[in-house]
Amino acid sequence: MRRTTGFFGRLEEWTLVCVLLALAIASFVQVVCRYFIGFSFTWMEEVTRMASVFIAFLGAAIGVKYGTHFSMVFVYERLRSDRVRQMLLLLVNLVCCVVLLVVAYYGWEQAMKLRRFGTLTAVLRIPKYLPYLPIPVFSVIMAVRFLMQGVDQLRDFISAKPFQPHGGRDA
Amino acid sequence: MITTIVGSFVLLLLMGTPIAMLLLATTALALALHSSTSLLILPQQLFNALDNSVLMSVPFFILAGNIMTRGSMARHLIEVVNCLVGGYPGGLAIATTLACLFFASLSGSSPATVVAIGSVMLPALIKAGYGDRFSVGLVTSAGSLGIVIPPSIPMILYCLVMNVSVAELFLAGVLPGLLIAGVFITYTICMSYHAGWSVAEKASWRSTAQSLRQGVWALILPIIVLGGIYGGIFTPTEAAAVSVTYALIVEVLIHKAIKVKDVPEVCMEGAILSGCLLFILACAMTLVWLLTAERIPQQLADLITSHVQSKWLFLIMVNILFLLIGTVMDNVSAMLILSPLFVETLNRFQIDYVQYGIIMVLLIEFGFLTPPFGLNLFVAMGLSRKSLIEVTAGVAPFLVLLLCCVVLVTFVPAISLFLPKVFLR
Repeated sequence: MRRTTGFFGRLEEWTLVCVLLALAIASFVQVVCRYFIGFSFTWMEEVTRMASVFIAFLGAAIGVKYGTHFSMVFVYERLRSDRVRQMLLLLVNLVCCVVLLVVAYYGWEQAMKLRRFGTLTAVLRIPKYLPYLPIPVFSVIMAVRFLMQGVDQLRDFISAKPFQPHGGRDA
Repeated sequence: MITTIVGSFVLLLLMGTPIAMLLLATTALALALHSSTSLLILPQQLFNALDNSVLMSVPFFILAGNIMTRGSMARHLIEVVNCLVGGYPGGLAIATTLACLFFASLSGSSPATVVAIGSVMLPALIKAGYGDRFSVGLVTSAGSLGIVIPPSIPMILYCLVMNVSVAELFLAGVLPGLLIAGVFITYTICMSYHAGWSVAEKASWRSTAQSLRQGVWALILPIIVLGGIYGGIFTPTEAAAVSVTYALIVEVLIHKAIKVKDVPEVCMEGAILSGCLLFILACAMTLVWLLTAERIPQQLADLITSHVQSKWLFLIMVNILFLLIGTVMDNVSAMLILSPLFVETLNRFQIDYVQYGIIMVLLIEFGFLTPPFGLNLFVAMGLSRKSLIEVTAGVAPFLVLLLCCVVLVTFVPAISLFLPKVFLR
């Protein structure tokens, strides 16, 4: 797997791994505490649930960079012309970008709605809009990455360069 | 509504849009065009799908598998089974299947099992004269047991979309997994008598004891994980967290196979993959919510039951459908989208969700072994430096055996339902 060198790219990857490992170890400690001391952290389950929203969207955003997302390349691998492939990939990237912007917009609206209502989570009593925030934030990042990959395809199309697939570049 | 959904789904799929994005796009388009519901429901459904503590077991089991693959637990396991069965005809090949079986009870992924066991066993098998084709085929196919024997990532995903208990589905996978392993071992023994492969010397008691002492850390993990789940000590998610921590402790502190500073590096790829898996799951569940709200499963059930009278015919058709779909997209995504659509039909035919889940997992296993999306094939190509055609040719006889097992599990519900019925219901 190619690795990014930029500060932001490294930051998001390290955040993902560290959050996952910290959660796993915290869960383990909680099992040990519950079983041997009879003491358990009531907030563990809520933190785990909020973290899964964060991890899914952060992981998906990193996945766009590396082209980890599954797709059906059956038709497009059968296309002969590099130009047609580039145009198709540009179109796909634009569709993804638009959809993610829609998700980001409504995700933000939803978070702001919850903020206005001032809802709190059940155990930790933190504002309920906070766990929603990864949805708009990482959707925007994904949209930007898809857009940039689309622009790369467009540039290759115009300068008549050979076709380069998803994830072949750094974002 | 249905036309919009099917139309945009198929069009975007053919264009090669990432599956997660096409699921989102289809849902958003159908909502915007045909429904008065605000699109605010989109982030709400994504959030609700992810707001579930079972979900985190997916990244945890993937990480644990990564750590154990890079560490030395797999090697120690192999030494143990090799000492136990290596001295019989076809011993090394039997040991390979058994090692895969054991490793499958540590890891929930099938390609990880191929890497962990295959990287050691494949050169050994070829050196012992088992033939390139047979060796590659065996390692690739036996590695696919990774998702049938608990823990299993596809099983957790199935449980999430179908609302089935993870503990039940895990237990239901044990007998089918043993059945497949047994069939593979029988085939190996027949082949070794037929081909007259050389028989290695039996291991001495001393070396067996030695290897057991080294391998004990790997051997007790499944007991902790499964014992913990079925003993009511922890939830499947906690079990996954326990196996990550256990694998870290054993590999970093006891075997010293991984340095502390390398741990994030080892986990990186799995972490990104698991993020993408959770994301696609959330997107699939959002579309499924829309379909269910539109009563599509009921309509589908009406359509199917008006043409198909017997549940066996329905199950055969599902098998064929997934075998066909497996040739154009990966079966895990197909399962996430299609299984919830069949819920109503399963109810009408009184097919147990658990048995249906096991059939799904076996079909996914089959998909792992067939081109063009067979991940195991690609992993084996990397390990053996052989072409896709050579690897596929090696896997072919095992595929036939696997298909027989799929048919057996389809027609004999007891294979999957016996253990959960005895212990959990």
